Amino acid sequence: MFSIIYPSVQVVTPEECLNAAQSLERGGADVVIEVAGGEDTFELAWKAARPNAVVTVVALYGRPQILPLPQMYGKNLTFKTGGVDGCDCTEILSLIEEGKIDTTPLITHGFPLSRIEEAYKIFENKEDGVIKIAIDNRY
Amino acid sequence: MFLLFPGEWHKYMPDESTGWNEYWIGFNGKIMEDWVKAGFFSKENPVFNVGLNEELISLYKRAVIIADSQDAIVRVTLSSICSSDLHIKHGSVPRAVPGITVGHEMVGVVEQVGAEVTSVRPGDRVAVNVETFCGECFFCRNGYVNNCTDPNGGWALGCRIDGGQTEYVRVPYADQGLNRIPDGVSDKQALFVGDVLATGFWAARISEIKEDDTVLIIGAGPTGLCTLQCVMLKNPKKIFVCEASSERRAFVQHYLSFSAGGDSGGMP
Repeated sequence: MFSIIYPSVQVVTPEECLNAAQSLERGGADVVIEVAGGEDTFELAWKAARPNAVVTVVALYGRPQILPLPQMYGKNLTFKTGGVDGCDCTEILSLIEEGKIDTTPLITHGFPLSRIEEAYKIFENKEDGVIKIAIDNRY
Repeated sequence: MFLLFPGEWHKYMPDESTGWNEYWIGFNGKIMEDWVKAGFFSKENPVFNVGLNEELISLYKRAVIIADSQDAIVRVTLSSICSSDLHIKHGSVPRAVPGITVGHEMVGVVEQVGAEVTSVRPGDRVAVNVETFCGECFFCRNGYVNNCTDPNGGWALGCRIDGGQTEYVRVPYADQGLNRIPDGVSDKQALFVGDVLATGFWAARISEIKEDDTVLIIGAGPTGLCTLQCVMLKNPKKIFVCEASSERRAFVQHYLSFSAGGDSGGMP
């Protein structure tokens, strides 16, 4: 077992985020990856990006989002959007085997298949600090 | 596949006298008994799947068979629930087919393979990809597998065809959609490879991250956390994670302090 040394990671609230990004030397983040899909997160994504940044939109939204091109003119952003192209699984499994990725801490709850209704309720309502639930399909 | 009758769903538990080991839940006990007597479900073919029907969640029985020579049948050992499953439940996925088994995050063991499947064999432990792709069309050959032009291409499992919250799942294009799990990797470690971790990995890959960069990740849910790990592998100068929930912000700190190389999940 070994600990991975990570580059510096700072956790911010949405209220702090825009200010923190725009205070950076280049006027914003060099890369923004939008995974939240909330009411205001698309707007936050492009506003927090520096000019000529890459903004990757992974999130699924319930409603169409607004791209105010006149306001954004000259910011020269590159948007990348879409659903995952899942063709890297062999590489990902190797990285897990090497200990470079570990997603097991995401499993906060476990249920047998026979109790999946309970699992759905907890997951849907974000109860009990849930992140991901492992379902044992054998029972 | 069987047509399911509309109406109320009831919960049943097995009793000792029937000798059934499986939990099964169905519509109206009488209908299920009739189907059992008619031989549709048997002890030899005891598969049960999770379906979503108008906000109710039920387990019911269905047969799972090889339909094409490139299919494999996987016995699912561990699976998970994804926020996309909730999107289906709420009717936000127009492509979703009503009545199919949901679930597209799973690992399992290959039980049967069609004649043309070469990359996996019965007995192999595999991660199942959320996506189905042929590997041959223009989009697949360019790595754009999400837009595979095959009728089943893209997100099929647990959306348009039966998925993984079940005992058995039929995986089309098994050579593309199944990945053997290395011996040193557990089912729990591999559980998210086919979907949410693949998503984070792909997002980090396409974002052109350089070591001099500051990266902002908005969202620290499961996908955001996977994205964070994958972005870290690119070694940018700094990463901001923006998250509205104070609980999840605390979780990020906890997540960053784990040691790699072994199970550290909190599963009871």
